[in-house]
Amino acid sequence: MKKTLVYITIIAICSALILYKFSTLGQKNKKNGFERNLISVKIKIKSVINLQKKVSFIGNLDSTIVLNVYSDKIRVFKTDLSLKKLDTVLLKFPSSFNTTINIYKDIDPFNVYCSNPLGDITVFNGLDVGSYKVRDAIIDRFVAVSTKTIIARARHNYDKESNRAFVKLKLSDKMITNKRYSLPKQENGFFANDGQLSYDHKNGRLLYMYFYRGEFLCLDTNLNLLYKGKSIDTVTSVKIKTAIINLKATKTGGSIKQITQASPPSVVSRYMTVSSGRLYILSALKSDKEKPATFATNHAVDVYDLKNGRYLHSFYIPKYKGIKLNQFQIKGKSLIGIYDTELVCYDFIEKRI
Amino acid sequence: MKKLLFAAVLATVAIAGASSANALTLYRQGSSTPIVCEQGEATCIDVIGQGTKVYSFPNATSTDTPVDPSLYQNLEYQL
Repeated sequence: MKKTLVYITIIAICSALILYKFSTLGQKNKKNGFERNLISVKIKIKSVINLQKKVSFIGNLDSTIVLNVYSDKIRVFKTDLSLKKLDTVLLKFPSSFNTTINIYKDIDPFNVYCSNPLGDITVFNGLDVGSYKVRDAIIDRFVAVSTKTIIARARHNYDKESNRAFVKLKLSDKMITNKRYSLPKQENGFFANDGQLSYDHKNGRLLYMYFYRGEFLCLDTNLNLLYKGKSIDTVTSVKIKTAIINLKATKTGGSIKQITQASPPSVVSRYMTVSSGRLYILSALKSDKEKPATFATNHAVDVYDLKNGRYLHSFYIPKYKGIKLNQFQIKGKSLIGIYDTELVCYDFIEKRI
Repeated sequence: MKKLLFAAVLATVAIAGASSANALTLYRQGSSTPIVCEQGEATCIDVIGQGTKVYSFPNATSTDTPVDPSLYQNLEYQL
C-alpha cells in the first residue's frame, strides 16, 4: 500500500511538471506571425519613487506627472520629472456626486474633471467646482477636449447586447449627447470593444486603442473617423466568451446579474501614449524573431505616425526589478513608467527616422 | 504492474481535472496569476439584467428603474 502511494505521488509530480512544461512552452514560443523593426534607444534610470499604492496616469500634461491612486478616489497626486516630491490635491465634490463607485478623471492645465457611471460630472479648478449631469447616456472613461467640452465613452444596448460608443458632451445645464460614434456591433461588444481612450491636445486628435485586437482609431473632435490604424500584429478579430458569475438579490426582490469574461482574455495591446506626433503602443505580443528570454525581461513598444497610423519602428523598455510595466508617458527626453507601485523616470532618446 | 498503471491513470486524470476546474477564473495572459477585479483600466465585471438602465441614442427611451448605486459595479483590472 505504501509503495502504491509513493508511485502515485511520484507520478503525480511528474505529470504536473510535464503539463506545466507543455503549457508554458506553447506560450513562450508561440508564433504570432509578425516581425518588429527593433531600434536601440537610450534609456537610463534617472529617478525612482515608490508610491506604496497602485497608481495610473491622469491626462498627459507637458511636464507635470498627474497620478490617480486607485484606492483614493477623491484625490489626485502631482509630481515633476525629478520625482522628488509628491503634491496631493483634494478634489471637491457636490453632495449629489456619488463617490463610492468608480470615479473617472482627466486633467488639463486649468481643471480636474471627474465623472461616475451615474452620469455625474464635476469640473474643479482648485477653488470652485462646477457640477453637471448627463441624462441620456451612461458614460465611463472620458477626455476633456476643452474647458467646456468632453468626449466620453458610453454604453448603449441593441438586441439585448451591450456595446460602446463615444459621445461629445457640452458642459452646460442641459447636457445632451450632440455627437456620437458607435463602435462596431458584435457579440459581447461591451467587452470586445474595450480599450483605452486618449486625447492628443496638440493635434486635436482623439485616439482609441482596442485591448483585444490590433487596431486603433483616430477621430477628430467632432467624432469623425480620420483613419482606422492596424498595429503590426495579425490580430483583427476578437472572440470573447462571457459568463454570468453572480446573482445579487435586491431589496425589492429582483436580482442583479454580473457578467464577466469566461475565458482568459487574450490581450493584444496593453497601453498607448502620444508624444511629438507619434503613437506609442505597449504590445502584449512577441514577434516571431524575438527571443523568449529577451521578451520576458523587456516590454516591446511599437511606434506609429499619428498622422496616418503608419508603423515606424519598435523599441524595448526594460522591466524594473523584474516588475512588469503597466503604463508609460514620454515627455521630451524623459520616459516615465509605472511599475506596480513604483514610478520610474528614465532619460530617454529615441532615434528619429 | 497493474497497480502502477492504475496509479498513473489516476494521477493523470486527477491533475487534468484539477487544471480544467478553473475554467471560469480569469488569468493574465501567459501567467498563472488570477486577475483581481479591483483596480485597473479594463472592464472585468459588469452589471447586467434587471435594474440596469437601457439607453438608445440619441435619446433615452427606457423607463427602467435605475440600478441602486450601492449595487452598481463596473469592476476593472490591470492589463
